[in-house]
Amino acid sequence: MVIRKLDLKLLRDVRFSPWLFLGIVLLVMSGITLFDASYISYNSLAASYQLTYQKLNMADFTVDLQSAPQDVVKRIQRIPGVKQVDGRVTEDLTVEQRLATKRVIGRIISIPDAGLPSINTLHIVNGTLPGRGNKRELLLENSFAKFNGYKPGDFIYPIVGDDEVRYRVSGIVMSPEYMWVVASTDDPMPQPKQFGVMFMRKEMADRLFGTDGSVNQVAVTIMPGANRSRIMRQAADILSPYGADDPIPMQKQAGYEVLQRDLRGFRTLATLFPMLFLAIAALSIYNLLGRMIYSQRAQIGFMRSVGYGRRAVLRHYILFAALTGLLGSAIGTVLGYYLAFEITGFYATIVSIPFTEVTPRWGIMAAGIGISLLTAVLAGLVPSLSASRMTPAEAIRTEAPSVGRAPAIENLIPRLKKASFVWRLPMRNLLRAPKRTFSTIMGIASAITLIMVSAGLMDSGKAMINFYFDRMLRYDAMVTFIHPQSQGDLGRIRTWKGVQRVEPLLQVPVKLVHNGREMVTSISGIESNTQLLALSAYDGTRISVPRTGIATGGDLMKRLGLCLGQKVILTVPHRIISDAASIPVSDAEVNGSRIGKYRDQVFSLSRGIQDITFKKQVVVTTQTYEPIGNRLVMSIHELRRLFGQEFDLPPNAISAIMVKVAPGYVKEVSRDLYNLTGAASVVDVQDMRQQIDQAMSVSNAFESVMFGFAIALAFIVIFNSTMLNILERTREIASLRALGVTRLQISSMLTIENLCTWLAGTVIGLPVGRLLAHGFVSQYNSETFHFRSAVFPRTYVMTVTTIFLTVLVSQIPGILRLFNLNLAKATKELSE
Amino acid sequence: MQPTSDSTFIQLEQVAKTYMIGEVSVHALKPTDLTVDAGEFVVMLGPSGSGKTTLLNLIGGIDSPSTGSVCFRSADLSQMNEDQITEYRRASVGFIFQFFNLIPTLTARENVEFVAELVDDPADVMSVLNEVGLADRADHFPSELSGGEQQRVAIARALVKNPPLLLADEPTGNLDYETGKHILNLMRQVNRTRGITVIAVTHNSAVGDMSDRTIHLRSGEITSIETNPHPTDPEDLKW
Repeated sequence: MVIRKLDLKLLRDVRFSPWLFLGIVLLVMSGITLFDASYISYNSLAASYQLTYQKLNMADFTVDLQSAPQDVVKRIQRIPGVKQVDGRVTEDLTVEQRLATKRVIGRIISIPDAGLPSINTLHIVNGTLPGRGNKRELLLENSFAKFNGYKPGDFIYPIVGDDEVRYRVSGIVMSPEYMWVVASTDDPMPQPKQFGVMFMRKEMADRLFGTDGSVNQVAVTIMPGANRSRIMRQAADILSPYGADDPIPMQKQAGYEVLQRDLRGFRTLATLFPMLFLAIAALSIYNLLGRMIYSQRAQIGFMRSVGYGRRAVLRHYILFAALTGLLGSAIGTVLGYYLAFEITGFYATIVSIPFTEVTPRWGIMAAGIGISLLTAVLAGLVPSLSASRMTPAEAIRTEAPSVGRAPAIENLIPRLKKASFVWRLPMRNLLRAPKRTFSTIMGIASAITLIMVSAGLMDSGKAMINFYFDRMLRYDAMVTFIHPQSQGDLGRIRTWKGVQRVEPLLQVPVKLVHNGREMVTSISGIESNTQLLALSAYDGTRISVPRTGIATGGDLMKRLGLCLGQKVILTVPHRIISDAASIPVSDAEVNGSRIGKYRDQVFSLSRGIQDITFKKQVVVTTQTYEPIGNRLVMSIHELRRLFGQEFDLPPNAISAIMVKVAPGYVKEVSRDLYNLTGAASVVDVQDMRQQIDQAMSVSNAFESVMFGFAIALAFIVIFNSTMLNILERTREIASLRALGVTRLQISSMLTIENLCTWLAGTVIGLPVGRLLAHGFVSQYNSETFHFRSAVFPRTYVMTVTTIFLTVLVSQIPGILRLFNLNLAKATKELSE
Repeated sequence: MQPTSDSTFIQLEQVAKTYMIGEVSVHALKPTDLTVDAGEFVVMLGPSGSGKTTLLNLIGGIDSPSTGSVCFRSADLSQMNEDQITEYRRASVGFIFQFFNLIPTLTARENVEFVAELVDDPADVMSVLNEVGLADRADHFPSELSGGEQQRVAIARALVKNPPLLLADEPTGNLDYETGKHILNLMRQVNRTRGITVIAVTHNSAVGDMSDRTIHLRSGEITSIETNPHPTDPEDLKW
């Protein structure tokens, strides 16, 4: 193949300017690696979820009901378009764990007496299915088992009534419903350690709960193309006589919805950051190509003078840019795919995904290559156009010396005028070539921006957790009781060794209704002078517990369209009613009253199911900052007054006790808290923190990858511009050497010049980076985690120091090259 | 435009050029008239800043006049659009520069081929390199060639297009005495043997002795034009 000489020149330009070419290729490569890695990871995760839902036959919708005979399943099966129906029993209860010495909340879900369920089936990680008949065996959900150290053969103790029943764990399983272990959509905090899902043979569940062949949940899959809304409606009609709730489509299923929220946050990060990264890379490519073209002015002049047209020159330099884009994206695509594989694998270890699917996403890869080519070509377009527009005479002529000026600082500090030229020359050089100076400063500023954004994301996450656990939750352990009770235990706990402070807490489940929007949550009643559960404003200042009305976070107010001073309707969540109703009459009498359950709380409902559809109006008087979840807080006295009668609360009712403990006493006190009469569970705040850290470890890992890329990009950008800055002036510096200026003086001058650009870049980059970090953090907020943008002082120091060192290191190769110059040759050559 | 004689190859009428260099406005060439006949060897002499390179650039179509017209074979360059002026440079002009302006990343042969590719009927690249005495250095990069060798590559590069007009800007300015004379001899040969019109710009007054006509410039204007009926052989030039 005969290659045109203009194209040969292109290839030779690559060979003769390897640093420049490599620099641009690395810029493109990093951008595409990050883009592909994050976007393929995002897509792979979404695909892995879908694959799991598909393989484990996730229900298209489920219906919770009070109780219905098993043959209701057959009636639903007859609805046209229904593919499969499964009826099951699901019950929440307290679980004693001798293994982990902790009492936690559990959920038992029945599975068929033989084999695995056909809908929402299970993936066995370890062990075997439970035996039949009288064998007291069950399957344990993987995350709970992992966090609490269970393996097949261990025992677990669900508490039914006042009895602990011993069950052998026959196997560990993953469930499509509990890839993200949450109890309900309203409480999206992952609790893999505190919430144990167990699967038990139906006959065994019937024996345990006395359900006697009935079911309280129906799961349905539908045929492809069938009308889901119609089927859901028909199923609801069939099930309504059995106290059915509204059908819950798959998208509203707790685990599914929380996973999707998490994915959405991931998508935002996976899209925005690579875009910022590529934009900065483009700016840098623009600078580098511009400077390369500038250094080839004479060649351009020659080409134009011998008859190469503008288009040929334009094509020539655009091709150079495209070549870098193509090579960078080819390498970046391979690396991005590899990295996506690692990220997805890591994610799968955090979330219990049984089936992962990381396949080359050709569309994304093609988009990545397209984007990188476009980035490189667009970045190269402006300098290439200006090259093609140069008149040959203008290009070929030695550029007139730029106008020299004494910097204003010399007038401000007269002593500087008398300073050595080692100090004065760098200042003047910076002013002499403003474009070059500007492009170097912008390179440094953009590198700082990128580091600040990625570090800002990590800092904001850490700041949120620190704020929540260090400033808001000031207790070390909290015991929650099965039934609300009077606060008699408070005084006793205060006398325990190591206990520093004790405060009561009353939590009441409510449904908030405002402007047609609803939300199920709970209200926490705390003492006005609380020290263990602090309220804060968004700016971090402490807020008192309101004397009247409720305090809540901005996110919840936004979701309900609430403003301060407005009234919100509080009513009882449907779930309490149905759960209470699902308990057989013989077991419903606990301590002489009917009970309703909500999460880990069991409420006394003395008036029966029909009488508790109350409505209360409360004014939102205080807005708080809630970093994690959505909390409603009011004075405990006010809460007792509002709901005491409806929930038949005892005098001075409490449902939990918060305890502050001296260092070293947490385990001992927690153990004693378990032994309190009526204790349902004990939360160790450090455990909770560990679970949240775990939940955030995926985004932390991803942010760390981004941070690594930001540092790499910063190095490439600065290395290239500093190196070019030096090499462009080879002749000038050689002349200085020839005149007798020492190597030390030359390297000092260059260092001073580069440090001036570092200083200017830092002054611009830090505030811009801070601003962009703020923008990114606000995009990353989810319904579970509410970040406040934060950049730690150490991040500023780290960023500035990293860039400072990068500038110093980047200039070394250039300076070394200058030291080895052939002065006779270098001073004679017009240009390289 | 004044009517031109048949042999009028290049005609400049009231051509002037003003540059902005940095913040300074420079009248590089004051209104100037000049004609050059086909086959002439013209030398433009003058000190730095006299406007000789500007004049050469205007004739070569690599710069445009601020006022006036430059005609090549009756075609007014100042009326040509970008494509036409590029075609003019491509087909009609060969350039030789003081600093050679070779593409440093291409070998001697590739530098010549680089230009040969621009025209439909170029001369044989190796023949031209042979003509300038560089056939055996054809595969060397510019950095491996001496200044004289680089300038010979530049001449080969200019000749490979078979241009009717060869423009040389201080062709010996960067060369030693002997090499300079060799280069001038080469230029004289192509002028005489191929009938190529040569316009060379120099500040070396000795070079004027080898020309058919010497045009003297100072401060952006032509001060005198000397016709030389008996040009000196370049080998006999002394400076």
